Amino acid sequence: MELLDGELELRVIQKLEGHTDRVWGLAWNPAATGVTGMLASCSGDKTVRIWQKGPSGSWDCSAVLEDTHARTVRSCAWSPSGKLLATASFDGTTAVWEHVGGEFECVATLEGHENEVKGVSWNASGSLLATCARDKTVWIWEAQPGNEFECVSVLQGHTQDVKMVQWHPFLDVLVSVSYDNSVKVWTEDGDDDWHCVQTLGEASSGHTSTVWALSFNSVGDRMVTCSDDLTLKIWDTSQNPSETSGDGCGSWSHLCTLSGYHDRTIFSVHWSREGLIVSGAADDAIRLFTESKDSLVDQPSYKMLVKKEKAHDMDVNSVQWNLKEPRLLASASDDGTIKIWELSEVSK
Amino acid sequence: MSISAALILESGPSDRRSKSLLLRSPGERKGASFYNPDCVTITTMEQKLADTWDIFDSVVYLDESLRQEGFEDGYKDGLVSGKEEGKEVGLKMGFQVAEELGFYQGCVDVWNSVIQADSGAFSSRLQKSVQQLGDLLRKYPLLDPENEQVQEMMDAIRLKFRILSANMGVKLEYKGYTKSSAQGMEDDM
Repeated sequence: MELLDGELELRVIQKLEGHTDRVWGLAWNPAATGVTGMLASCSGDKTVRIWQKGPSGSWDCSAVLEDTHARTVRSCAWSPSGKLLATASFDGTTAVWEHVGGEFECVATLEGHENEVKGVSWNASGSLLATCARDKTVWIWEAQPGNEFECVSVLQGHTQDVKMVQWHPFLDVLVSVSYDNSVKVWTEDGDDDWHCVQTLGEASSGHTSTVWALSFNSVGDRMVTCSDDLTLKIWDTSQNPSETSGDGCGSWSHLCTLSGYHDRTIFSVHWSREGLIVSGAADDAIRLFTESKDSLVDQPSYKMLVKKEKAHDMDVNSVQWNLKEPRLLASASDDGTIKIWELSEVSK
Repeated sequence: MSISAALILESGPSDRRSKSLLLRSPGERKGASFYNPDCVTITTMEQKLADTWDIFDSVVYLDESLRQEGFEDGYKDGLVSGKEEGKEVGLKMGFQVAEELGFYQGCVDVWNSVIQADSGAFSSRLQKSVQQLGDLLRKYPLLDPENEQVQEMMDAIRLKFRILSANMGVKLEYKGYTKSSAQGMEDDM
């Protein structure tokens, strides 16, 4: 990527204000057609806001999804088609909203978790939805005709609060990260039988404190996780864990650890289609990393490209690359704002 | 007269010591009479010391024997009331477990009746879950409360029931069931 040769900077395009409490999560609508940009944000103010780029080029709030969740909305995720938005709330429910003619309608409420739902993720085909909660469980729901959702399985294995779930970009392999410091990989054995096929814990060079988030690269052969232990870890995920045989081949392994860059908890991490990793942390900064090709050793290594200090006034809770414009980035913070950033070369 | 005074009064030729020791039989020690000041001058140092221990014995042993007596009484009474209490707790626990299991069984029976009346009423996944819950309830060792797996089995039953009621879209909950954790704080992340 020739862009990366020059010196880079993150420039704020716009600050989005509207939420009246901390903003927890962000999700770009992946729909290939229609408007170029649609961003969903969720907040401690119990609402979800939809932001769209208007004709003037500025981002405006086009909808507020409210009166459904009774407590903080912790995370949100668009279905692959971009028609449905799932929102996970501390009220113990997950709501599914349908986008019809510019309006959003709550078409389903998934109840099952015992307490705060922390994360939600759609699989590649949009047929399965995973949710995770403070009750230490991960639930897998299957979309039925007529916006009905049926629980397929409840995954038990984590010993603490599950912070986030994320499906592999094209395989039906689910990854969950937890306050128990571990990363768990789940697959189906057929017949609704979901099992943990691998636990990436301290023994597998894993994290030594809460794992907050994870992200796959675009081809799904690598995964990055971020943690309260102040590191980012890169994992080799090129093997399909569903095909794991008893001898351990097919399992995922630790590739490298990025330490020394952060001095506060890293809450969010996202891998862009172009291979840039962005992190958002409790030190209010946003950092970008890329694989360094000039490494003399055989092992892959990553270097920091950009560090944006004081990106927000408070903790950065979520960072998300735009899925179509590869240099566009959104960040959400405890300061109640969302910022849209553009990565560009420093003009000399 | 104090014991130290008695010791001070002590006097006499050294050869009497061994004699008096020989005269002592083991039985004498236990049956030592109360201290008699008149005897002081004719007893040896050793005998005096031995008598002194005898005096303490009664005090020390009194303490010990009373403690033992108290322990035995307490143990006996504790056994009786402990058994009673255990019986009560056992009854209460047994009642709770049975009531909860009965609640789930009742639901399963109704759902099975619905399935029999109209096989299309529930999805196949739901029907399978009803059957699985029924199996779990049947397998629960009601008459074997010391089975170490009871808690595990109860957890499995509760989870299956949670999934079932989630999928039925009904808010059913055994009223005695206490949630494993209280509501978190708003600040919880």
